[in-house]
Amino acid sequence: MTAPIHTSEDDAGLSNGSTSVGDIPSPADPRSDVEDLPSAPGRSFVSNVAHRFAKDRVAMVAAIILALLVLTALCAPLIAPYDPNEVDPVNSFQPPSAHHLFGTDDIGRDYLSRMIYGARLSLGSALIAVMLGFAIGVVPGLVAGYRRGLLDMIASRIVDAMMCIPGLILAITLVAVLGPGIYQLSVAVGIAFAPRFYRVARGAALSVGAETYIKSARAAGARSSRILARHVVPNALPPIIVQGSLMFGFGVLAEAGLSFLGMGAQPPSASWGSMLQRGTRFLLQAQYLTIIPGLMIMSTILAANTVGDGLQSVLGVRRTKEQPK
Amino acid sequence: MLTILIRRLGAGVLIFLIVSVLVFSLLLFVPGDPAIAVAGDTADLEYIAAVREELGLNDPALTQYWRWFSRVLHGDLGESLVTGQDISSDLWTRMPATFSLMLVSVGFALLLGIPAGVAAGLTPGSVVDKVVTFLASLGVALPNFWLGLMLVILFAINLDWLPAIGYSPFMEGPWEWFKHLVLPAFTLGSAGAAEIARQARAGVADVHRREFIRTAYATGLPERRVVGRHVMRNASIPVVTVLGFQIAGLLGGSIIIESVFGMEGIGKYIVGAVVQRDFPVVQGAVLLISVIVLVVNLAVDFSYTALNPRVRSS
Repeated sequence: MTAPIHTSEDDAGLSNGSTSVGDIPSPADPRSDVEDLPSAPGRSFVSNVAHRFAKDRVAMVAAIILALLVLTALCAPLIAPYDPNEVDPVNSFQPPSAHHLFGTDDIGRDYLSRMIYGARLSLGSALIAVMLGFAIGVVPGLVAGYRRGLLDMIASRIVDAMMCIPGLILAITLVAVLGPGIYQLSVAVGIAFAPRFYRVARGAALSVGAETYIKSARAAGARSSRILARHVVPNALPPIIVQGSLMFGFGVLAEAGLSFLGMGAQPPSASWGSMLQRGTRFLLQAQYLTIIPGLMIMSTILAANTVGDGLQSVLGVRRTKEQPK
Repeated sequence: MLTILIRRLGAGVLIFLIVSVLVFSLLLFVPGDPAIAVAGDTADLEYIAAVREELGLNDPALTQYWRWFSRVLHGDLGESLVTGQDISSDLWTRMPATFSLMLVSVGFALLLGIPAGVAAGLTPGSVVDKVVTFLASLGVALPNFWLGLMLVILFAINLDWLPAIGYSPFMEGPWEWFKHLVLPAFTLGSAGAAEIARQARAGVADVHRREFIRTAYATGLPERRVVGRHVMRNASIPVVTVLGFQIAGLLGGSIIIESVFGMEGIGKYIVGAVVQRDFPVVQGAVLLISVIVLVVNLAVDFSYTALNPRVRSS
């Protein structure tokens, strides 16, 4: 069981460390009573967390919704009632009905099937972005926060500079370099996420590094790499996991936004964002073509954020001030 | 106090230098030959060579950077590869649209977010609190361009109350200016309002149960005065932080919102440049945006110092 860890708040400003808002304690989450439940003896950390998470009903429902969405995406060929790319011009612009639950689009393709296949691209893109951001940002952040010194200073200034470019603009700029396409877009968003992961990881490592048990491990002569792997990483992980789950929602949002601008999935395959974009051409005759993908995007993000908030209180992480946008 | 300000300013300049290196080095990461990427696959060799010369790609990277940066410092961002127009003046003419959008969006975000957040924070657990908290979670999760489209369907197409697209300069009439900005600014400001409401709620709820507030009530001060003077001032610090982030977020969102609402601002300019792979334009516009964010960050830093004496002394 780890002690509650708060993520870096001192990085909120421009120059890190000097403009701490940390002297105003973060208000307790309304659901933070979950945090105080006694951990049952004899259970592992993971099963304890899972147990407490299960008691948070709102977060649990959100997690189930998210799981169902992922399952839908994975089993798309089994679930989709039609071929998502099968054109049927005679039946174009059919409003939602028993035959076509979500109706058909401008060239008669079944909209439900396209949404189901679109989930693969939308969720997959967000997943790639989060994993890439994690992979690039976390290790340098942990090392910088633990070792501090010159290395930390250089890396943190570079991250400060990256954070001066708003996330979406950094991502679209990278799309200009990499070219349009769903994979390029996911990579671009992942790179834009990396500085956010760096900051959370660095902040977590900073606060863990100040703990007495780290000092005593160092005094006992343990090597830095060993302290990092054995003590810093496991204790710094909770805020990073929370950040990851919140970033997933923003990944879905970023994919939708950039695909909406035509930077993502190229026809005929479509993500929710590119379906939304195509739908806007028919705003006057078939509004369901824009309403359905929009609602799906919103529910997914809402579910991801709720799971993130739930994990946050279960893992005892204080609300991070990082804004992923 | 002065030394703090000077140190911040120094840090800001350093970060600007790093940003300029990052923005410049974009070109170095273009897979394959940037000159071919710019000229197009079908261009003949002579044209590609001309483009390469134009981009200065034959020189070492450091020379290229220095040449570009020293021109940037003189306000010269080069010319668009597509239109041949001067980028600085292109940006200059597009600034009013983007700044107006920012201004009205921030206005909406504050006008909606702060009262809602304060009302919720003063009465934790009440119906008001629950409604505000729910709307705030919704506001954060809503893809704002989609919200914009829904508002266009409702207010521009079905009700015909407001114009759906375009920007009308302030000088040609403030009312037309505002009418054209209502939908895009509300759309862009909604997520900001949600985030501000969350922060204000949390800040007010936290401060309101502190002992010095109880003392203020106990001395017989009216609630209006306690809330206005003591609670708000102490709760304002996290809100100012969030507002600083929001400006960056709004600038990011502007690329989509300006495209949805057909506003000729900096955001739409960037999108057009990305589609056409007009790298000098992308570089110039991104550099300008990051300078705006830097300046806002500095302003936020300074306002902490003004709001919170504890920061001043440290």
